[in-house]
Amino acid sequence: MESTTFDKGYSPGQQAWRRLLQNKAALYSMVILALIVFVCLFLVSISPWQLDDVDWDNIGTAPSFIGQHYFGTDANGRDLFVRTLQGGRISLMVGLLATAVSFIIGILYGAVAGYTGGKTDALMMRFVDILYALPFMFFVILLTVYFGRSIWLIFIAIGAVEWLTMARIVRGQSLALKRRSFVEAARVTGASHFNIIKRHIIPNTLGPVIVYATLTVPQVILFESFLSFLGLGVQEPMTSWGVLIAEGASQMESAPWMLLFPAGFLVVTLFCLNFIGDGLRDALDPKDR
Amino acid sequence: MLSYILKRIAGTLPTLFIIITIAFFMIRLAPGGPFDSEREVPPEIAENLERVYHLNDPLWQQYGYYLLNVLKGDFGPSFKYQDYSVSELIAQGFPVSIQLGLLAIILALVIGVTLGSIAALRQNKTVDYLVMTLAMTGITIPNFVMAPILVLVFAVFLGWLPAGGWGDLKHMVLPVIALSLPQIAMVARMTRASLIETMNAPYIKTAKAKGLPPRLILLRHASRATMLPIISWLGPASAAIITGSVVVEQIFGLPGIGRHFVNGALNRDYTLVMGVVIFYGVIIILMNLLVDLLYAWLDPRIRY
Amino acid sequence: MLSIKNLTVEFSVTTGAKKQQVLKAVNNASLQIKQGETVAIVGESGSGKSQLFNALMGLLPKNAKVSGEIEFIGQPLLDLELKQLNQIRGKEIGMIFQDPMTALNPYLRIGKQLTEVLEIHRSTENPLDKNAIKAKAIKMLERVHIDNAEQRFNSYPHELSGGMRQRVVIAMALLCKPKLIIADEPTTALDVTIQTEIIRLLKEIHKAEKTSIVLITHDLPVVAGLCERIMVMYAGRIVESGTIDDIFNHARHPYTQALLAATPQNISKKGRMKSIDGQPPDPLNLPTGCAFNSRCAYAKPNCFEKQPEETSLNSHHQFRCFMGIDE
Repeated sequence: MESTTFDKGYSPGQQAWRRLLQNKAALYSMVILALIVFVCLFLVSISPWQLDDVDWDNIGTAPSFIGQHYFGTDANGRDLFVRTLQGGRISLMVGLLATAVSFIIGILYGAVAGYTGGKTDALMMRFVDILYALPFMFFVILLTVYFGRSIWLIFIAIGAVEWLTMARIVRGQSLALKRRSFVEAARVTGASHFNIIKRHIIPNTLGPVIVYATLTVPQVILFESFLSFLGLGVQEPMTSWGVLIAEGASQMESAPWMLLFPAGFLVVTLFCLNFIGDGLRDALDPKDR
Repeated sequence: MLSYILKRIAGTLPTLFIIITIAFFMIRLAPGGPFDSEREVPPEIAENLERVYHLNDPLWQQYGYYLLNVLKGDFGPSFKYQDYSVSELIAQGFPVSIQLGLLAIILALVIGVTLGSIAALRQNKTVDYLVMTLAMTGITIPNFVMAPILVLVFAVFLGWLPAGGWGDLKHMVLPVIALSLPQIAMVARMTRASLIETMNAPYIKTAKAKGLPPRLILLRHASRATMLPIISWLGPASAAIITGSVVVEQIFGLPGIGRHFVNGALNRDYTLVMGVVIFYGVIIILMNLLVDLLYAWLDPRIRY
Repeated sequence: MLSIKNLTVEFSVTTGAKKQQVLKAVNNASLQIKQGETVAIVGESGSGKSQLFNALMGLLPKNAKVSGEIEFIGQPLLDLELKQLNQIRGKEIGMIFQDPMTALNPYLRIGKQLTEVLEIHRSTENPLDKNAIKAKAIKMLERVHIDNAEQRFNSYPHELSGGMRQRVVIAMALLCKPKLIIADEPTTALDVTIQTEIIRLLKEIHKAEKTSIVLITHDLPVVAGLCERIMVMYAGRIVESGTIDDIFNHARHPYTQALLAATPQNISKKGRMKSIDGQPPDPLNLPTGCAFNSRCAYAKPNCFEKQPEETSLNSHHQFRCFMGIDE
């Protein structure tokens, strides 16, 4: 895997971490992202307004500090600051959970396929290939049309779609790994296949998997925003950045702040996640760009 | 050559089948659809439904009818707009969507390849960083954010272009740009990486050693190797453009297929939604097939 | 005809710990080649032998820094404008590369790759039209012993065998009747039987056209079949140069002697092949003194302090070692 000389005393994991920290873009991104998460989770209480409160005196007003509508209000008089942060919570949570779902499904599927090899593997991957060719964005939409628009469905739907590439990566890795000597050693000592998969194969595939997971989170957030934007995602009374952007887009001419704040948050979050993902990839597999 | 094409087409059939089958069952079993036995349906409509959907025949026969119809291009009537068949709606929206999509792909290729090449040839200089940053931006910012911002800047603030509608050239500018931007970014990135890699190939060294001028080396020797990955990308790119068109058509109010799709989804118009999905599926499969064939034609090492 | 003086080639590299360092590939090397000579440059991987000639041909990567002088038929080559360099490359000097699999463009027919050399170097005295060019190319293919030349003309590289590909590469280099051919390890990637054929081909060409040939190789025995003079390179310097007789029978530099001893012909009575202990020095960190000092059986304290100057035994045999001087 890596060919650089190791500094004395650092494990490959620590080495990668140091390399990551040297990457300025990734570093700043991690800080900014942490900030955003912190703000969304904890700073809602700064504002006196609740998610659904309608401020009848201040419908569609611009951001102001004095009126305590830091981001302004939307066309229904609801405070945008609170909504943006709440939306952030939802968007981030969906991002994390759906990625986790795809993570788990993908790893298990891929590890089993790669490790088992032979016909089972061929069959399993053929299944993945067929699914891959399908325009899955549409199927997620179909699922929402079909089952109604619940947030749990969104997790599952997105996760069910993103696991494919994860499975491919893990399967490739486990195919390579199963020939390595420590796996043979484990077999010889009588470890069950399941245990081998659990303790040897999976931990060693973690490198590229982590990179891919980090790059999946922004894709998932994007996906959810996309669905919500079209009205097929998160529903009232909950909100997400996608919903807010849709609302903002419709009010663009009269109240541009409605668009700009949630869009800003979304874009910055996406950038940060992408930089971190790229940084992780470089850190774990240093190559000259 | 012919057998290669046939083999590739045959390979896509399972996918198509699965799509159509899922479509059928979703329609059939949809809650809130006309097959929902809990619904109160006036007798004339019930009769109509029975006739159109062959409800009295066994399930597998119904499936057969559906399959045949789809293969003929008949997706059934729209649930919502009872007067229109889905095929009619799709045919209505098709010209708009295809114009949008094709222009976006052409733009992506032309601008993307140019920018990427410039960045590759001036590697690590200012131009390179500029292009790569722009590309990063184009890829990260989703089109449903980019499109409203473009409208904000060019239609609302500057008033140069209309904010929506379809009709003549000036209506096409913003939607096509919004749709193609992420692809331009992607192609630029890929071209840059591909060109850098190609220029490091040993046969380029040979070309230099023969005394060939740089322009000739670039155009004759490097171009094909560089373009191959881009051509491969056209397959998934068309899927991305279709996805993007749904958003763009929504924002700009364009009467394309994407808009029917979204409305269908919101109205639970199952036949419409399924019909559009199948239609899109076929287009994607076709594009992928075309790309494969193009690739095989361009790379002499692949022989059918 | 060709004169290289005090050539140094350095690369600025970033090592794994993200440090900027300077890699010295060629360290103050000098050599001369006369018209019509066949010279071999012998050395291990990393000795700088390829980079020396890459510098000559202007084929170094962007992070390379070159200093010194190179003169070809009275014309300085370094810092030459690209246009003028391209008049020389392919026309006056032809180059043959190591791996024929990758040296040819897989996407172009070999015919095209041959004719373009002629097309580019068309001159007013040589105004060839398309058909004449094609005929010339096909004739050259025959000259390098490729059967069915006219059919092969339209082939793609992957349709030819390794040996045939290398012949095509040689044909490409010969088309404009260059005065000098640089063959950078032309046989390393090929089977042994093909190796001899290629060397034989080069010898044939030398005999017929009196082209100067520089053969870069790490394989001493191969040299004897083709070259009149041999230069031995180590860690970026030329440590010994002489005729075949000088080198094979009267080698003075310890490295040369070790190289000769390490050939398969010299299996000792115990059946073991002699190899040279140790590793070549790190080009990022060249030692003071003679670069061979850590591996030399005869190393003295002097060898670790100063670099040996060139000693001339006679008009054709020179070497760099303190050992000779002490005698």
